Amino acid sequence: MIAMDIRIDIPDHQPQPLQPILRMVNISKNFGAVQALKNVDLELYHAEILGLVGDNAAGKSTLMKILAGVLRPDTGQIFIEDRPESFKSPRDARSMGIEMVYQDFALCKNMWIAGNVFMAREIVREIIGRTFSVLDKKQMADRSRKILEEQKVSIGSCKKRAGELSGGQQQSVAIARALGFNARIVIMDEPTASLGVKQASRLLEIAQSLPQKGISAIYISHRMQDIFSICHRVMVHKTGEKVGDFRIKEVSVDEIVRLMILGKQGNGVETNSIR
Amino acid sequence: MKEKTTTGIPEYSHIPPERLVKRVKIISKIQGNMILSLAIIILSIFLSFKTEGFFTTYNLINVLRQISLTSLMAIGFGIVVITGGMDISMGNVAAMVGMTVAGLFAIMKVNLFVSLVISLALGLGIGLLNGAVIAYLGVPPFIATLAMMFISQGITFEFTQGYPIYEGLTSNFLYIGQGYIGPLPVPVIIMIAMFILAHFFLNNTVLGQHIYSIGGNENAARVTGVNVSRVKLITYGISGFFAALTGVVMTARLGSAQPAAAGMDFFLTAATAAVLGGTELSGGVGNMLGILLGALFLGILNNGLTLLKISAYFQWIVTGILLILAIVWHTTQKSASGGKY
Ligand SMILES: Nc1ncnc2c1ncn2[C@@H]1O[C@H](COP(=O)(O)OP(=O)(O)O)[C@@H](O)[C@H]1O
Ligand SMILES: [Mg+2]
Repeated sequence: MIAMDIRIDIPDHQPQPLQPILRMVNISKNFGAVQALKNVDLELYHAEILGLVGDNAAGKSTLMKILAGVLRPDTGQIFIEDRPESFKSPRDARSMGIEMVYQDFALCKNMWIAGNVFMAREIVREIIGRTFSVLDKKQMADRSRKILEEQKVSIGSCKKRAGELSGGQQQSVAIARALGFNARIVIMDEPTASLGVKQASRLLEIAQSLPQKGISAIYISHRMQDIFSICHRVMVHKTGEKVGDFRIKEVSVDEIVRLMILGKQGNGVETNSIR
Repeated sequence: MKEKTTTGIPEYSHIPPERLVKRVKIISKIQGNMILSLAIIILSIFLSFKTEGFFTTYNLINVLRQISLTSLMAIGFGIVVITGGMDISMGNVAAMVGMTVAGLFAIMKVNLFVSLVISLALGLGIGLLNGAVIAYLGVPPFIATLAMMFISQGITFEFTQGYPIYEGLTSNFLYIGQGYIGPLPVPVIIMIAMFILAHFFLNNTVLGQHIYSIGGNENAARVTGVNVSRVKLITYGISGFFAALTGVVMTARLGSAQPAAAGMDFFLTAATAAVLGGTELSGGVGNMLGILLGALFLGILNNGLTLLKISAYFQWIVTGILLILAIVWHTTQKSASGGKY
């Protein structure tokens, strides 16, 4: 079992400073008649991996896209280290160190690897206004290769187009793009969904190593064994609402699955997390 | 701790040579345009045996001059298409600007330089308007530029009532279309300069990268922080500018401003050159060398067929067949490399 192979001991004393690195408060979002999110709260602590689970259409991706600046919430606020932030675009969120690894990798397959790693963050030589400045392609290629090597991925030439890579290699490029730039919060939305067994376990290793680098992560998955092997805490969504929030050591798979399917059933939000 | 640069990326001192990489890159670039280059060479050899005057300096320069106008439009068209967009107003915008420059210079007696600047700015402005409608109002590019095609055609004919402008186009203006620098006609020089500029722009600037990224995966571009709307706006501005440049050079080349000189026919020839040159209408794929080769091939073909005394009508048939063959070839090339994707 993969989950068993890579299971680590989660320290009992989780490093949780008093203030979370990220707070999302009272977030709601409608798409026409569909209420994708109803007054959802989320807290993420420093160097913590938070699991986010829920049935399809529970609103997990919507919540993460709001955090990544892709969508704007109808109501609610986002606080990064207690400072209110409003992201008007993904560029704003990325500049705050919030990175997202998308399920479909969100790569431009027609472009070279370094172009993907450095997309919207190109290294330039002459600054005559950034838009018209000249790319330093050599630096982009060299640094992309270094970032990928840190992930223990060898892709050969960074001048290959992303479309020429295998699925696992493409994801490595997507991860390099997210991790290569001093990320503070990394969002992974069902990252193993389209991977083979070996690639999936490598991905879990990467996710698991983030806290050591001082990076917090939000990890969305349907695979309970993955959630229970790498996450410190898990948050449960059902039809746009938060229905549970647990330390992973104090909850069972059965309880989580029951909440995912049945919801809170009038018990109020079940939680044992530190407030 | 590693040193941090201004971009926040760790700095590394070890940079190995990349000669091999460079070589691979050149080879793959050539391969993309190799068939077209080969076709041009074969066609040229065939024509130099079968016709009298093909392989003369005079005729070859003539071919270059014939393709210069099409190429100028094809450059702008290619850039828009690489974003996955479309600008079918280019032909009519060229005609409108061709009339405008003559109206300003010949009739209103505006200074040559000012006439040129106003005319090119008009094309740029119309392009930016297209871009704003597409990028900020969400109108599909085909519809937005179809509307602009009608509008610009309407304006041209309303103001000119269909009459050309002959008088007053003095030699300093005509030089743009009919002059020479050394052995090369001025339109050819302009074409070469624009190809080099556009090639450099697409491959070596941030905006160029973003143009390719939007064509390859617009959503990916957006979520990584590319300002998609702004890039689209600028891109249509560029196609508008190239339409205007085509119109100005055309008026100077013809020695008169004709309301119907450019238009759908002319635009479609430019589009054909771009597509023959490997520009994919679905976006993300295309390069300036390919477009130059596409235009060159089309130019040599038409020149050769004329020298062979084959009718213009038959040339259309040949062009149509070639277009289909080119698309089919590109499609099979893609699925042949499909295993890697
Ligand atoms: N862009 C959108 N437009 C309209 N509806 C959307 C959009 N994105 C998500 N939704 C709807 O919002 C709800 C939540 O979706 P999502 O956040 O993707 O759920 P999850 O990731 O938990 O499966 C679903 O009903 C979905 O159909
Ligand atoms: Mg989802």
